Amino acid sequence: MSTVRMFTPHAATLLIALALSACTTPGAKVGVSTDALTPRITSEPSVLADTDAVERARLQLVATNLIATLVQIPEMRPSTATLQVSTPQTVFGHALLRALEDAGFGMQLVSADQGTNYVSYSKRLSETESGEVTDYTLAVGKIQLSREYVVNGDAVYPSSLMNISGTDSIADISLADDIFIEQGGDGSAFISGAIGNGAANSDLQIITLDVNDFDELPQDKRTRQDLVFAEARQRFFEKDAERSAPNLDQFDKFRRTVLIFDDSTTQMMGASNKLAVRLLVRQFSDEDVMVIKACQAADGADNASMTRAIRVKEELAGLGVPTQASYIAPCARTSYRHASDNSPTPVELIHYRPN
Amino acid sequence: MTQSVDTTAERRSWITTTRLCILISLFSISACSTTDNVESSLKTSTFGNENPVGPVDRTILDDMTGVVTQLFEPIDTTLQVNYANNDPLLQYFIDQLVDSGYGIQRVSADQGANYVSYTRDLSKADGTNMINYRVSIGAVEIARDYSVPRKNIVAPASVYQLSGTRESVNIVDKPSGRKIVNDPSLSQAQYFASLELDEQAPVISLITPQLVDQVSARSANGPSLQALNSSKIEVNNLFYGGSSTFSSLLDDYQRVHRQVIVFGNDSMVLGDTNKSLIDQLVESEFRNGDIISLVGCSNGATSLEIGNEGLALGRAKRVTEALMNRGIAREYVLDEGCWAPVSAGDAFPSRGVVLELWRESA
Repeated sequence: MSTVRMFTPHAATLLIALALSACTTPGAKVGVSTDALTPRITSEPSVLADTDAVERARLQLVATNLIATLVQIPEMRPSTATLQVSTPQTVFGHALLRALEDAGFGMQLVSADQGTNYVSYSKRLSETESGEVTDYTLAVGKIQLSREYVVNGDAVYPSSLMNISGTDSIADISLADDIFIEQGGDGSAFISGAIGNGAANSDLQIITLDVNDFDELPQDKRTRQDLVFAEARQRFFEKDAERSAPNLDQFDKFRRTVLIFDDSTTQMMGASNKLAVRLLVRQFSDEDVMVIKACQAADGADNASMTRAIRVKEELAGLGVPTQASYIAPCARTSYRHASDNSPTPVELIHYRPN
Repeated sequence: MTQSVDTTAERRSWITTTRLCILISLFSISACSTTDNVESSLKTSTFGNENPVGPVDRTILDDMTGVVTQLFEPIDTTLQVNYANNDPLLQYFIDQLVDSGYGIQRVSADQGANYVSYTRDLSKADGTNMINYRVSIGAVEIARDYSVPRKNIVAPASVYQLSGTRESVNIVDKPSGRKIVNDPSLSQAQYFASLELDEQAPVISLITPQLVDQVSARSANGPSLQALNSSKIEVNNLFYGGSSTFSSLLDDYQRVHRQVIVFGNDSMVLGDTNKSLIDQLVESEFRNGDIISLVGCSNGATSLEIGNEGLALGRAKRVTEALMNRGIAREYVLDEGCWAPVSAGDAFPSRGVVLELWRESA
């Protein structure tokens, strides 16, 4: 047998093995595309293109964490707040602006720092006794969020509490820290909780979250950014409903309408429903209350109806009805509607006036 | 010779194997690079359909932007647009609005007071391509026809049709390399009622306890106590006295003008004289932000099957439509009625509509 003939199969095996083994190590890397971080309103594409996809993914997580907190601050309700922004010059800036857009904030492009809700941000690297930590800060008008994060391999984890200043309404805020656990880890832990204006608050719960290798989820199983924001906003509305339940004994019913949604999943109100809400709101006075009855589930856990109620509450807010003046009523059981019923779905809107 | 054949065969085998290895390697490497680019599930919906917007549509949308900026103050206005909508025309339009200074809010459905949508209809007239654009921003609609006489050339083919607003706009159709102006008389705006007259709008009911008490106390044979107005809002019959259903809305307003429009007996026809009176009211007296309250009346015997109620509210509806046809948004018209088979004395006319113009107190 010739040397060539002997060498050939071994070489082939070696090359295949080499090629396949080469594939496994970098294959674990994850990242996000530049598109996923590009704000629609304004961007600097070259900034994103020059950055590693893994770094983009880490920054997207940090931005998601900050913005999911921001949407729970009453003064910063996405349905009513319009933020002023300038063209971002950093990847973190891109990630933040895109997250703000996806959270539903109105965005206005300004040339300098015009506006009461001007968005500014910073990222600072510190060398500490625990290693390198990066402090990310987001400021919207007078409200400021800041938190330190640490990079471990491809993953990023919080390394401090979320510091929120410029608002007194942080007691009900729940941080979206589970998104960091989904990256998995090596048995380490990170701190989760918020402090207001740099001081501890007894209303706030501070816990430690463990991250193990078995926590790691495949990319397609991790929580999507839009779902993180939707959950955060829903949590805000649920807390708001508990907080602002009016004593309806002090009010009389004044007007009532029934909005019909095309099916049980849609959020589209349509022109007719929108017109009815506009006409109803026209007679809304400062002391009045709007009650939204959307939930017909017996067990009170109908997420779809809660989403519809939030949709109506947002519409009211967009037309100038203060959040605290509209109230999502608890579920009231109806016997005629089965859980799987996907027919047009009513939402009752009742206008109350002080008696 | 044999050796030579053997060597050639070996070489062939080597070359084949090498090719195979290279192919596998390349495949593996390309697979690696694919894995490298796996996108995080945190990625949100994509956007930015790169399909270019043609010069004709760009010209029209630039025109529309010029009108929008006159109707809504850019610095103080946030417009809503559906974030799932990757339509390049809408994206281009939004880009123009952003450049004009508007705030843009990406919403998941049709949230917001200034939700933006548009329709674009293509047709042919006398062999010429026509495009009708209709842009909706909240309750305001802006529409215009354009013709496309040649490739990439557009010409206005109608006046601007505005509804839901009486804001005056200055239409400047400046000819350019992409736009020709065949008829300068089309460079103006006319005010129309919205084509969507919301017949399917939900009913808004009155449910005050006093009303419920009254209803139970009254005889079923007398004139009804309430009915639906043209906006499907339940309103009180003002024949019985009491305050307007919309009185709370007018707390901060003062009446600046009042006039009565008289109808024929058992008639809901406006007629030229009344139309002219309405024209005068809208052109000379009405200012943006004003509210028009109107009470349609039918007090006295009627031979119509719809009765006094139908006649009174029908007259109110007829005047409401006339006002909307002149560009006044439905929100600014409060129509009610006054009906009974007997005269209301001096309080209300027997067969007319009382129009009052209310202006916000300084």
